[in-house]
Amino acid sequence: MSCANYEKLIHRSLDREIEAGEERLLMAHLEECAACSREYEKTKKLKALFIPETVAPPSGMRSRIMNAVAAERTGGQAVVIPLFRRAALAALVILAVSAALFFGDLGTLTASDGDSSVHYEDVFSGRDPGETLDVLLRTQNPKEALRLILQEERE
Amino acid sequence: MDDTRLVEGLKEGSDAAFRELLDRYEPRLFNTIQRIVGNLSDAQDVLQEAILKAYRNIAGFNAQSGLYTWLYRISVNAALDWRKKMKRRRALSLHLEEERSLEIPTDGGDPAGAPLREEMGQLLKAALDELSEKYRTILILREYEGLSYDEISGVLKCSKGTVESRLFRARARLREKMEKYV
Repeated sequence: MSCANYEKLIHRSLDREIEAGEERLLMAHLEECAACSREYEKTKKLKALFIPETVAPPSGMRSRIMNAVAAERTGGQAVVIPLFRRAALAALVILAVSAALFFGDLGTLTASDGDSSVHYEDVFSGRDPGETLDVLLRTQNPKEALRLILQEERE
Repeated sequence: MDDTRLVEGLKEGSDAAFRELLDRYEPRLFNTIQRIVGNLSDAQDVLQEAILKAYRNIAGFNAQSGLYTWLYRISVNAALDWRKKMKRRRALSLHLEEERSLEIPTDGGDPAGAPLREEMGQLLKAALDELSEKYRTILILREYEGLSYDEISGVLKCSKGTVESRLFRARARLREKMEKYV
């Protein structure tokens, strides 16, 4: 077998995809071939540069997906909004809700939840802001957002 | 719940099955997507797009390919499409330009002059970005995600032999770019 063939075995070996017989052949060859031995070490070093690090999805990702799927189910169009636009929209929504609360409008509005009436601020303040924002952004309507959040909590 | 039952549940439109799907695969898919896309914010959009695509097409899912492989394929393709789109908009080329100009600091680093782990990570990322998409993708799937040749062959829809030779060439190209460090 030529060194070119052994080179393939080097990659298989380092990827743990090699068969036992091939591995024995390779190891015996590496003992006597300095070029292939160098190749083995260099490939090993190259692979070591990759350090697998797990990046967890950000909070709010799950509810964002669930909302998009819910919109899909109800026939709505799920729109992918780029992050910078989401941030701008979020700022607008927060501003609008804050203004409404400040002027005593939204704070006094309630939405019927079966027998009880629920204040927006009570519900929104107890939730992950990222998730709430996702619902607000999707509905663009605080009252509808409240209805969806309450529905989700009941489920 | 095994994958067969999970798929049945998804086809019936079960919420519980959908949540289970996300519990099982969302983190891994997100991880792969963010590596291909290159940043966390775009990765969120791409993941949402990929999951929605899977949701829309679950009825036509062929159990032979395996749920995980199928989801992975959708996610990798969505991420690659996103990169193509970004390249067309020239946003990515600007980003690459910035990263290509990365240099190893001459002071403040390791006394021996070797790049620190984080810097090496940046250099590797820049070198990967200079590779063609097919070489870059296969290296990500193998080296970061740890997929076997068989799994990569399922995700990229090519033979195991192609996986092996592509990986071999991808490493050769990468080594040229990282020659100083290996």
